[in-house]
Amino acid sequence: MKGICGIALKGTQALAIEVEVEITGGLFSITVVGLPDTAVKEARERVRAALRGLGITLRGRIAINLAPADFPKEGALLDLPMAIGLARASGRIELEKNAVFMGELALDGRLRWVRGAVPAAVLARDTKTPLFVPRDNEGEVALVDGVEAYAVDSLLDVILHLRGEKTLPRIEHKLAADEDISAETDLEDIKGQFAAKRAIEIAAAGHHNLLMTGSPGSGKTLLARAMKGILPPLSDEEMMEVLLVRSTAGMPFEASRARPFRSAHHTASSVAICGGGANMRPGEVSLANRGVLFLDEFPEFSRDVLEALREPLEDGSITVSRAAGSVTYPARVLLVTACNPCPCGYSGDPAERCRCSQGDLDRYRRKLSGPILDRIDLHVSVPRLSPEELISLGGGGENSAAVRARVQSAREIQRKRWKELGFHCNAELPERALRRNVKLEDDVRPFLADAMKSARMSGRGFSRILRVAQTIADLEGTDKISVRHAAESMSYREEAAFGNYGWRK
Amino acid sequence: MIRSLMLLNKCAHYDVRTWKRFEALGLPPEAFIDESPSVWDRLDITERNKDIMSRALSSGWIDRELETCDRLGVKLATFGDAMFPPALLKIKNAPLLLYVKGNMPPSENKAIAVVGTRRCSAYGERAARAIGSRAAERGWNVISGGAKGIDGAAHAGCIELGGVTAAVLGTGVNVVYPSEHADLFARILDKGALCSEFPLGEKGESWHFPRRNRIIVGFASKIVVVEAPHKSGAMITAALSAEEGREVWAVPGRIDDGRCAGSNRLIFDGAMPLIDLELLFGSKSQYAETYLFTDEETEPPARPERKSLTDRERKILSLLAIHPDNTIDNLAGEAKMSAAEVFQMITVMSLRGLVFSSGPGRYSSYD
Repeated sequence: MKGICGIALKGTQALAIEVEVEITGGLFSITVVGLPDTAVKEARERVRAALRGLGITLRGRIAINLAPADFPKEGALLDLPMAIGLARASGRIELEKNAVFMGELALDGRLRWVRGAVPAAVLARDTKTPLFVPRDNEGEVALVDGVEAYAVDSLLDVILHLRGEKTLPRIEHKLAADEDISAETDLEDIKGQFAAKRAIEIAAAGHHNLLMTGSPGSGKTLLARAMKGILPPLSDEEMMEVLLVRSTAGMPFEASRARPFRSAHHTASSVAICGGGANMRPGEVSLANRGVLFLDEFPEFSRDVLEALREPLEDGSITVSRAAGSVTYPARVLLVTACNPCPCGYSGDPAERCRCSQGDLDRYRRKLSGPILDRIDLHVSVPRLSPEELISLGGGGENSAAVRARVQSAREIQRKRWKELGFHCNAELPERALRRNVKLEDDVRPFLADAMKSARMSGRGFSRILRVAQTIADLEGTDKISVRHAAESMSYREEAAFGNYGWRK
Repeated sequence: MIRSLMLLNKCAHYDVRTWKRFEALGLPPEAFIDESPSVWDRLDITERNKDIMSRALSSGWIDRELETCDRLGVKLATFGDAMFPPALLKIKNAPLLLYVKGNMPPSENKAIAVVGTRRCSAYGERAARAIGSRAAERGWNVISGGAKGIDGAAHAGCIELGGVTAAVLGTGVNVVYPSEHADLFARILDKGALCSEFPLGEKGESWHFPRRNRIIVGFASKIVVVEAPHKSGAMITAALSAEEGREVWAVPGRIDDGRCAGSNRLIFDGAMPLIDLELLFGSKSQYAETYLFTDEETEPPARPERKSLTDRERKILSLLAIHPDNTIDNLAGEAKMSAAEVFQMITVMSLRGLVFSSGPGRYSSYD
């Protein structure tokens, strides 16, 4: 990296863009080369006005080259480096040192918030280069440790600082507060649904993907939202990942250790979910990285979207390939899904009658099957309660903080146990490693063998039961799986949650 | 003759009454094909069906169909020949012919039809299964429609005790519908039969099913409606049975459940309430005081061990006995246990055959 640099984003990484300016005699014109998009081309008007506000009038034929020339540049964040380059080329400032600039210019020279400040800060830190960002981006840059960064209000500030006439203070590193997780929905506020609450606790503890089945109005969405409050806070490393994605996507900055919760509607396109688009943005699955991705009305999602989710669920990242090249975004999510028991939603409901034909039901169940279902360890039914049942129920039970404490200690146990194998949580363990490494009480094996026979389980189903049973044991603070744990784990199988009607084979 | 019958049957619209009119003309059976257009006019065959038949004739459908039947081992029982079930001769709109796969149960008077909704309750399924099994024990043949729900349970119950059962299908006999029943159909064929009046490969059109119901009625001397909503195929079958003078029975259902509204209505209208299986097979006085699922003559079925249950498990079972179709939450609340504990117990007890899942997220206990 040399000279005056701006940045362009490639995935969640910043790429240094050298800004070269040449001014020759002739009639006034500004040409920007190096694959600029419209926002970059239009920068010349903003830059010219901002410079004129400082008394720098541009003359002659001006060529601005953005190198590397073959990488597409986008957005208004290159306004500032172009302005600085022009100021230097017209002899108003001297600049020997390399520096990274970013910011969108207003016509009067003020600087506006831009996306990508966190990736830029990471780049500046790694290359030990000073970084100038708009004041509005100060908060997120402060979270990156060890970067020499300056927050500036206007173009004037930068020029005065570079000339040595005014010294800007360095942005001080500031860690995110530790204890500030407060989800809008506390478990305490949800009446009843103890079974579902237990399931989300297990899902949170072992990072198991979850499918909730229940009639409309049974509280699936509320439960999914409550999930945010029982997940352990983000670690520093995880937080940086979250910041990088949010900054790349251009989302407002939040210095919170609460895990992201993203909910996507079933009309969402696969680009919205996976990322991509004309100017490459991360999708919902990346925005939910290290947090929860909630897909309501799961079977209504298009096949494309569901297929595309396989990669992130397996690898924890998603690669979006386009003609212009491919980028990889992090996408390690806890997938929480919800669906109705049938298209009309009232199958098995005590009060309403189901209006679906057998064909409707068959089609619906078929849509639910498929490879993505293999990635879902926990199935729980969230039955809608009849009015009498609702009235007879007691209070809400435990609050989220108490559950979170249990989840956190269970995660800690898992982290220690699987450290040598290189995994973080039970859900990450592949089948083989799992079977070889779990410890069972003596009576568990015969119990499971019996159960497998009478419940007609497959080998994969068996592994899933072990995996979930391990998490249940971890929640209890024991390492060994006992019959109790295995039995509870079995009730989260798909078959158990859905119920079986009709002719049993 | 068989070729003429096949051709007329291809329309899936005419029955034996049309054939009788043809015979009354005094022509040889072959004339139905040989003198085709003119004969058809005299029988008032509609344009649409004439079209179907002439197309079948010109494409050589009859030969191909016979060949396929041969290849698949499907036999053709035509009206009046030795294979044609005598019971069916008596109904006025008997089918022209039947495609039969497997062995048609010998029709004495001991055939019972079990019909009901495809979307039955767990109770309905149990009842149908019990009827099927008991019929097998008593040497009765079970006739049903091979559909999901009640039909399937009745067939399965009969097969489990080694009985003979026949499914009268609304599709061609070589079509497996519903596809989940591939296994069941294979087991029906071990001793019984699949039969249908519809040509091979015919898909299940919605109007096929009411049409085939008359065949189910024709076969059986008694008919049991297990669970049927007001407007349903089972109710059509029940109405047909009454017309044909068959004994109609209905299994009493809960009055707040739409799935039993039709069958309960039948009882109100005079069908016999099935309160004891023995009554159905005529070996007991109608006034004997016994219950549906007990049987004093044979050993009671081995009940799952209850002695080894813990007090907490007993508690859950007793709650389920009071409120079947209960949720984990209600059980946890009423028994003052955590959801996790209830989950554990439900799993253990369902593996031991004490509890089953009776709907999404809802559980009931057996008996």
